[in-house]
Formats: sequence, C-alpha cells, structure tokens
Amino acid sequence: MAESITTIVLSGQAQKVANQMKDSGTFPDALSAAKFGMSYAIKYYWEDVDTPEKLSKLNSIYDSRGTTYNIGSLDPDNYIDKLMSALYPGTNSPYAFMRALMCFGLNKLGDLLDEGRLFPINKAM
Amino acid sequence: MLHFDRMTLIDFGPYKGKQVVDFSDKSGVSIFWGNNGRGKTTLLNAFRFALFGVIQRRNGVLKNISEMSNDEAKLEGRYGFTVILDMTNDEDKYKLTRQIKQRPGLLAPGSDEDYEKVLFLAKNGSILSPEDRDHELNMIMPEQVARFFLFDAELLQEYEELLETNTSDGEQIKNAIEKILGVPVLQNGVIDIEDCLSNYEKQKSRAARADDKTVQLGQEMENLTANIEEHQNIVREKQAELGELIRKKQILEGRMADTDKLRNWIIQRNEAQKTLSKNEEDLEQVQADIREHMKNAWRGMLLSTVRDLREKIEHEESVLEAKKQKRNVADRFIIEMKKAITDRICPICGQEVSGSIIEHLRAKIEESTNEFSGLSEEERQRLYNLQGQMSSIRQLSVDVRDEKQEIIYLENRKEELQISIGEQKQLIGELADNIKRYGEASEEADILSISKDHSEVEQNIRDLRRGIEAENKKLAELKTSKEHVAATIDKMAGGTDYRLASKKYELCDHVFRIFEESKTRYREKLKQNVEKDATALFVNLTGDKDYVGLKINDNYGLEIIHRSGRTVPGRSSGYEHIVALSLIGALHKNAPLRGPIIMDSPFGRLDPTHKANIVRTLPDMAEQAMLLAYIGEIDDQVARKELGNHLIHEFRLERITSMHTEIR
Repeated sequence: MAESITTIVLSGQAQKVANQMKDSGTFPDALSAAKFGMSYAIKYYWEDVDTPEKLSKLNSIYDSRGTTYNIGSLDPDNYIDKLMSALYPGTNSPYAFMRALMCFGLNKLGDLLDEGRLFPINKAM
Repeated sequence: MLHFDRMTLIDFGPYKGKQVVDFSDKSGVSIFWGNNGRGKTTLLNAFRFALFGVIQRRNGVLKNISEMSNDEAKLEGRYGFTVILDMTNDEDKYKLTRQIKQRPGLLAPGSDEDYEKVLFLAKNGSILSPEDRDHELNMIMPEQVARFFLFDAELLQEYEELLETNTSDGEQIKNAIEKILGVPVLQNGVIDIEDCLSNYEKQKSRAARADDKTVQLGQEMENLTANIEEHQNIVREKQAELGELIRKKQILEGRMADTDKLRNWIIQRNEAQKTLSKNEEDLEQVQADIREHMKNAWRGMLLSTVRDLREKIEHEESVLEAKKQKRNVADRFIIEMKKAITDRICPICGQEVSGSIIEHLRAKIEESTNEFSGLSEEERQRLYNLQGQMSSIRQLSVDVRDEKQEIIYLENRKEELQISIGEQKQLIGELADNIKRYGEASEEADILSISKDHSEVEQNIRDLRRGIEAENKKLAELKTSKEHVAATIDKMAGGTDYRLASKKYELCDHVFRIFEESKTRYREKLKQNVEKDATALFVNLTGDKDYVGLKINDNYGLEIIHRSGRTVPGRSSGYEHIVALSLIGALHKNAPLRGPIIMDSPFGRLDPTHKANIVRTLPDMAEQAMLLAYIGEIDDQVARKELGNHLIHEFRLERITSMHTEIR
C-alpha cells in the first residue's frame, strides 16, 4: 500500500548542516542541500543504507526538529519516488526512506564541513 | 694638476671602522671590483662628500646626510663618519678632512640636527682659515665642474640634452663645460672692461656737453647712453628673471615627476578597483551558476548508482531470459523427436527410423526435458518484475546529466576570482597607502595645476627669451645711433678735454673689442679642439669605420658623422655613452683645470669590444683614473691586458656582513 505521508521533517542536526551548506552560497536552498545529502549517502555509503531495514532503523534514531518539507514541492516529478522504488523494490514508504537518506548523508557532509573539507563541493560529488 | 693620493674612511656607509686606500702617486688606472650593494657608488660619494659635503644618489641629493653612518657602528655606539682625502695639486700637498660628528651630550642621535659638520683643509701641513679653505677648495675642484671628474656612467645620457636647444639641463651642462674650459675668465674680463668703457663714455659725453659746438650732441649722447643703460638693465633683469624661471621650471619638473608617480598610482588604483569590481561581479555570477547547477546536481550524482543497478537487473534479466529461451529451443527439439518416434520417419531426411534410434530418442527427450525445464512460476514473476523495474530505472537517467565537470570548472573559476580579488584588494590598499602618504593632502586640482604652472613657466621662458632678443636688437640699434653721434661729435668737437676723453674711450674700446673677439675666438677654438679631441677618442672607442667623427654644436653637443658626411640620427644608448665619454675626455684635454676621473658603472650598456676599447683609451683621458665596476662588468683579464702598465692597482670591495664592506 502506498505511503500516505505528505510532509517530511529533517532531524535537527541534518537541518543545521543543510542550512550551513545553503549559507555557504553553494546551494540555492537547504532542500537542495538535503537532496545532495541523499545522493551522497547512496553514492558513498551504500553499504550503510542498502536495505529498508537499515533505513527504518535510521529513521527511528533521528529526531524531528528540522524544517518540515512538503512532498509536493520536494518531489514534483516523482523522481525520488521512482528512485526509491528502484533502489528498494517493493517499498511503500519511499519518502520515509528518502528522509533517512537525507539525514544520514547530511550528517556525513556535516563531518566534512567541520573538518573544513566539504569545499570545493565537487570533491563530494 | 690634481691627484688623489689617499683616502681614509671611518664608518662611512658600509665602510665600517677605519679603512685607508692608498691610490699611489703614479699615473694610471685603479680598478675597484665590487658586487652590487658592496659600496661602489658610496665610494664615489666619499669623494663628493669630502670635496663638497654632498651625497649624490641616482634619484637626487641625499637630504639627511647622517644616513650615511655605518649601521653596525651605530649598534656599537659610534655615530657619524669621517672622510679624509690626501691630495696633491701641482706642488702643494693637501689634507682635507670632513666629518659628521655626534653633538656632545646626545646618546643616540637621530636626524641631521643631532650632528655637527666639521671641515678642515691643511695645505702643506698648515690648517687654512675657513675663507682660505673655501677658496682653495674652489680652485682645486669647483663643484660646478665636478660632473666631469666624478660621475656615474649610468647617468651619462644627460649629455644628450646638449643636442637640444634651450633646455634648462642643457644650459646647466653647457655652463659647466664653459667653466671647466676656462671661458668665464675671459667672460668676466669682458664684463669688467665693459664697465670701464661705460665710464669713459660718460666722461666723453660730459666733455662733449661742455664744448659749445657739441653741447646738443653731447646731451643726445648722454641720453642715448642712459637709454642704452636702461635697456642693458632691462636685459639683466630679464636674464635674472629667466634664471629664476629656469629654476622654477626645474622645481616644477621635479614636482611633476613626483606627481607622475602619484598619478600613476591613482591610475593603477582605479584600474585595480575596476578589475576588483569586475571580479566581484564575475564571482557573483559564478556563485549563481554554481547554485543553479547544484539545484539538480544530486540527480547526476546518482547516475553511477542507477547504472550499476541497471546492469545488475539486466544481468539477472538476461539469465532468466536465457533460461526461458533454452526451454523454447528444447521444446521445439522435443516436439520434432516425439514426431519422429510417432511417425518412425526422420522429419529432416525423410528416412525410416530404426528401433534402436527410437530408444535413443526417447532417452534424449527425457534428458532435455530435465535439463531445459524453463522458468519456474516464481522466475517468470521475477522476470516480469525486473522488466517493470528496468523501465522505471531507465526513466531515472532520462534528461539527467552529471554536473561534476561543470562544477569543477566553476569552482576553479571561483577560486581564481577569489585569489584575484584578494590580490586586487591588497594592491588597492598598498596604492591607497602610497597615495595617502606620498600625496599627503594634495588635491587632484593641485596635481593638475603643476602641469599647468609648468606650461605657463615654459611660455614665460619663451616670452622672456624673445624679450631679451628684442632688447638686444634695440640695444644694437641704440649703439649704432650712439656711434653715429659719437662720430659726429668727434668731427665737430675741438676741445682738449673732449679729445682726451675720446682717446681714453677709444683705447678702452679697443681693449674691449680685443677681449670680446678673444672670447669669441677662444670659445670657437675650444670648440674646435674639443670636437677634434672628442673625435679622436670616439674613433678609438667605436672602431666602426662608418663613423668618422663627431660634430660639435653651439651647446657643445656632439653628433656622430657618418662617412657619407651626414649626421647619424637616433643613436643607441650605448653610443650615447661613448659620445659622452668622448666629450668628457676631450674636456679634460682642453681644460686648464686637470684632475682625476672616477667613474661608477663605466661599462653598463656596452658590449665587450667597446668595454675593451674604453679600458684601452682610459689612460689617455686622464692622468689618474679610477673605475668602480661590478665583478663581470668587464672581464678582469681583458682589463689587465688592455691597461698593461697603466694598471696601478686593483682593489676588491669584500663583504664582511650586509652592512660591512672591507676595501682590500
């Protein structure tokens, strides 16, 4: 059965990193930074996020102190939905998975940011 | 003839402590070898300081002379410096001591005010009075002609000014040339006799006025004389004014040179500000481009993951497809074999099939049925799912591009711009400091007014020169009228007083004309001699057969003559150097005042052949010559070979520390 959620909330820590990435002037907004975080997690930390179980576990760890995003504006062309279906066949909670990936990826990028190694950003692409 | 015998330096510039240089009483050439910064120019300045109390730098006279104190000596508590010059002029021995001495009671003097200047001149062992000292020094080496004895060869291009007319620098050099050649002696004689002539003329006029027959003419004569005097005064005033204007022009030119620097800084700062604005604008755009690209960069980052996923699915799909395909092939084979068993005829060749073959076919059918069993129902569903998944995955790559290369390019560009912005900001800061410090409170209007004032002064100089010319013309007319009146008076007047006054005047006039003519002839002869001697030196120095001589102009400027007879235009800086040296050599030959030549950087612009030529010619230019050359400026072997017995001594300026040089 398809997921019925219409919004997601990032964790407080992930939101902080997304805001810092936006404030650096490299990202147009925190949401783009969050999507970048999601891709970063998939590309460089696949072993940590390759099953729905792992993602569910991550989701249960993260708090909900970040900004609330509307799914409609977050994934207007359903690209993320399709991506989640491709990566996690049979899932019916693609946006919950997306949220876990975003938080995980942003936290990893936050580590780079703290070490002063996040920029130039092409190194993380 | 002046000869330097010995120089003693105490804490002067890099010459720390007491250092004595014996030049020997022999005629010939001494060479001081020293690398850059070792104190060659300082050594030249030691002579200038001893003789004139000044230090000349390439950018002008050193204002705070106490700066010449040795830095290490200062750290050791010794302030000030001394130069002692032992010299011989004709038969007289001189010992000149000039010292900059710390004022008593001061622990660490700073500016020139904290020092006192000490000067002694001993002649044949007796210290002279200040008046005699100054007189003797002026006789031995007048400061005005020092440029021909102590010079920096890098600055010889100033002699090019002599080729121009009416330049203030050119006039200064011309005056110095006439001074060294002794022209002022005759010039002063002419002026003195002119004064006498004027007195006799007045006596003559008075006598004419006292004579009844010529009373009116005498009055006219007196009027003309007064008129002439008035115009002469005007000429003198205008000449004084001209001198003043020329000085003012030099000051303005100096300020203009300073302003040029300031103006350049302002232009550079404005350019840097323009570049900075452009860079900041570009950076803004690059940042915007990065943000634009980063909006969808996350999709491009997934391309490799999507590709891996697709490859994985494709592989699984192909395995299932192959299994399905094999089953299809096996099915067709089994059907054919079953048909052969049923019909007992081979479906391919149409021949009858034997019992043993039928048994064999049955075994084969069983074997194929087991081996190519086809997809299970789960596999069939899996294949179906994979095909659906594949279709979704393909869509994930549509219209998605990897932005990484573009982001690399943009981030590199961003870094370049940030570096450039930093550099421009630093440059602007430095230039702003320079402008603030150097320009002090000067307004742009002030800077512009300097160039305006300069143009006005130049115009005034031109006007004055024209005015002087007009006055001289008027004077010539008045003098002609006066001569007519005088001739008429001579015819008419018969009184004894007038005749006596007239004879005195005539005698004085003859003397005046003799001096005037002598001065002209002497000057002309000197010019010819200078031209001849400079030509001889020049031909020796160049060795170029195309150049047959030098031609002198009224300012003592020298032009090179080609063997075709025409003058050579646009000579190189090397040739300017050679021509200037030829002129200096010729002046030494023709000057009543003779002395040593001390030359700093003598070979800077010349090729090895010309360097060798100069070295060879040097002993002919002066009885005593000293070269201050950096090592490698000329090959020491060449110098020794060319100079032969004329080489008296080679000194080396050796570095002890960056602030301490020893002469060895």
